[in-house]
Amino acid sequence: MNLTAAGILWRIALGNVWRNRMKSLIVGFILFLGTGIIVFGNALVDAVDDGMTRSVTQSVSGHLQIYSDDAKDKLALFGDQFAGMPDIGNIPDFHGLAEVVRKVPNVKAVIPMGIDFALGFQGNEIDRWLQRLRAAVRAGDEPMIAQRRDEVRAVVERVFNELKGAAALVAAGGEYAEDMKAAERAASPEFWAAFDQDRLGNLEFLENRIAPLEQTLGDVGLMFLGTDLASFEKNFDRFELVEGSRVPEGQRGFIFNHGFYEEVMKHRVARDLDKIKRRMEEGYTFEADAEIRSWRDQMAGQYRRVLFQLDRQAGERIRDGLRTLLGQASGELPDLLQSFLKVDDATFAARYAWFYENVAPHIQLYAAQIGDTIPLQAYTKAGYSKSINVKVYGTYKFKGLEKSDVGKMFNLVDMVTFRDLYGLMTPERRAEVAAIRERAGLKDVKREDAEAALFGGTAAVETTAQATGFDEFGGDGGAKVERSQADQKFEPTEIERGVALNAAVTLTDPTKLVETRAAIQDALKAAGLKMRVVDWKEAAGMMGDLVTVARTVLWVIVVIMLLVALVIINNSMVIATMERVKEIGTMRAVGAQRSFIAALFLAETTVLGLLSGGFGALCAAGGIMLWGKIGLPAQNAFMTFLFSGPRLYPTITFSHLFAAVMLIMFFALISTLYPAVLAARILPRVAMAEEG
Amino acid sequence: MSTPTPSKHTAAADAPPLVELTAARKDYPLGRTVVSALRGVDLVVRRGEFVALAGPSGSGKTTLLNLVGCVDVATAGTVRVAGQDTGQLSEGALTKLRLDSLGFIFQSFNLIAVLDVFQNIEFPLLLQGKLSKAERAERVRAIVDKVGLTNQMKQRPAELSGGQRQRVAIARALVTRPTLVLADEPTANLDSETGERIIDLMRDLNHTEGTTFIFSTHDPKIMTHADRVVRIADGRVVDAAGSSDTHAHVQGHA
Repeated sequence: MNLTAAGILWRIALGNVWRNRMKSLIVGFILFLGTGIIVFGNALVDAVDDGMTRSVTQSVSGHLQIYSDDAKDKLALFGDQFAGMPDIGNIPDFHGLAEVVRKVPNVKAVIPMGIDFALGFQGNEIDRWLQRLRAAVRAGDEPMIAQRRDEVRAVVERVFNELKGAAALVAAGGEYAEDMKAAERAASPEFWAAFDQDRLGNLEFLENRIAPLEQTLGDVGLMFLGTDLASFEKNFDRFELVEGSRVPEGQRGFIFNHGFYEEVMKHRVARDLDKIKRRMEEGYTFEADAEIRSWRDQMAGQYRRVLFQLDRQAGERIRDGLRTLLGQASGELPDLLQSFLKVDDATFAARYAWFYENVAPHIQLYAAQIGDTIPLQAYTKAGYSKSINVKVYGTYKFKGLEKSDVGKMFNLVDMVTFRDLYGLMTPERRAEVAAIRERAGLKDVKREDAEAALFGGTAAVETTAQATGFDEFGGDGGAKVERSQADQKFEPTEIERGVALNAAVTLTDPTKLVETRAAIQDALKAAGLKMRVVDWKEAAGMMGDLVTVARTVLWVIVVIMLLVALVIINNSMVIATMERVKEIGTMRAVGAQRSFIAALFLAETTVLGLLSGGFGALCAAGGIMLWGKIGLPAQNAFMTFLFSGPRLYPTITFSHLFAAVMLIMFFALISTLYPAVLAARILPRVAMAEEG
Repeated sequence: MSTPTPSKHTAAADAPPLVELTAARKDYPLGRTVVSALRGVDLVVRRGEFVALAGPSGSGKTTLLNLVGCVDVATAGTVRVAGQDTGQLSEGALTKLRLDSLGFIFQSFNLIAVLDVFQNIEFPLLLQGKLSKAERAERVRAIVDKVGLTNQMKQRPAELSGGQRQRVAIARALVTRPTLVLADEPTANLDSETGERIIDLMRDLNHTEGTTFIFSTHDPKIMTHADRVVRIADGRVVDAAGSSDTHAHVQGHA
């Protein structure tokens, strides 16, 4: 086709797009919508990708993760949905690895890591009172003993009254009758009159017979990430200390995740109140929402957790306050507390405030307070449990991820404590332990050998443990050594000189991730270290696949939509062809070649595609820019993680628009191929009169 | 601008044949049977002739025009147009032949709706791509003057009367200076007065440009303008040298 013919072709195409307005409108709308969805969808997925990249790389993973090539499982920082924490082997000499990796260009930092699971003890309310009394007795502080004794007495009386209430409901007998008898004795004035005669004996009675009567709060499971805390804070800019202080250099220490601390470690009743408050802020009411009512009823059932923590004075003050608040002249604390906690839409706000003002100061609001030393119990690699006391220094959060589950996942602990809990030791520490064992004498060692054999089976376990660097030194013998662990200091170099499970690598220029990854791989290989280097998406396990999944879903939707569009466009073009048979025949008769007719149809689609696709892309771009200003609110914790914050701010790039228009054009032209061929086949004689 | 009654201009008998049909047959399959639209036609049209094709509906007038106009090929026999055997030409070559040597005027004008008068007339020149923009403009303006549409150049077909539209079609057919113009019932959709004027215009162009015209018609009055009337019935030429003065033997029903 010559150039002048091409000119008239576009003119006719443009004219026909306008002349067949209805058809153009239908096809145009489909192309408009298609382009809009592609632009929107891509911008959204890109924004989520970006958000998730920030969420993951700047909180835990870094840009790359290194772990042992001997790993049984793949590294999954956030756990594997099906198999729990994966077995990723370990990096025997983190320092050696770090030295190699730090020399690779574009590497900003290499941070040792290890993720494990431990049990923390929440303790028991009566135990806490008894502990205080015991401390006073030990100190021989008489006025304090008297005060603490009265407090314990008040709590024991409450426990007894509660038990009596329960006994009325449950047919008493057997063991329960024994418990009742013990509680009755502990609550009797005679017991308290004689208390001082055998303080320790009576304390033992209370500890062994009464404390267990209180429903135990149970242990709390917590995930912890062992790392170089200073380096972690420096390199992950999402990290922010919320309460307390940093763990001093060379000290063992534990930092609670703030979200975890609030939602798990907080006093059950306070936690429930917080939970209800959050839900009400989302617009739910007691009247309309069954879930919120069920939470309220469960909370009211937990009133003992408040009751047992109040000393006599506080109990009386709160009782009087509640009488006024609830407008009840009489009534005892247990009943008052229960009705107080039966909140509804009208009373919630006031009672929430009242609770925090009047009750919270008198109860232990968190199972572990900042500054407390808590016992952490974990199962070591060798298979036995190990308990370590560690001081809680504070709480932290990942900025923007406060509400996301992943953001609340990890508590932090120093690398040395992590190694102990995981059962991994440095050669230095192993030597140290060996020295202690020697000092402890043959008898003790023998006993430990027996224990090791008991826990692990045979001496073969020991051999393996020795060879792999696992600390097989556990049980009671271990406790002796570790009594003062919480205060024990270590050399800062010890953080690096030892075992880690994995290493996070942050990059100066994250866009060069692929190259740097290859360079690290080569450097490690050259150094004779058999390691796997994975990018953060792989390291995030199933989380890392999310964006890929989202993108796949988007494209599946787009392709389905385009296929539907293809059918519709094809149909309407075929109909248009039929309507224009005469005109096309005329052009052919006058001397237009078949190629001209086919090109004319493609040109019409091109005009329509560029107009409606371009318009669709611009509208979508406008929408995204507006959206990018306002932000799309995250509806739940998971979305917060995906969005890397409470709101998603998608952005638009020219390539988004260009790619979408090109794609829609391609599909539109494909849709036009058949009608174009059909039109080109129209015979020129149809232009003539319809006579034989 | 219609010319006065044209003098009986007859193409010289020794002028070279422009169209030559020899035993031309055209069969169309219709379901399981075959319909023969033309059953062996022999016809010669010489350069400069102004020939009317007459015959009732279904007699084969349009089929004959289709074969001569190279928009269809004969099933049997030969059709030579401008010295070329159309049966031997490819689809593309036939199209090229139409573009360069033929012009078409249709019963229902068949203008391109989205183009204005100027663009419609320019269209075949654009397809040819031989002339510059200025040359095209000059050529179009000259022919527009001839058909008397100088003031309608920027109008769309929908804004024109039937007669005006047919003038545009005539201008489009003639703008490439073809040797042969085929007109398929050019006056059928026009009132008789307008029809007369259109035929006068064609006749005038036949004289001044020497363009050969073959047109089909039902209208005896229109036939009177022809040098020669070729009468067709049942797919055969029944009278190839009919006088335009005598009325048709076979009256078509319009």
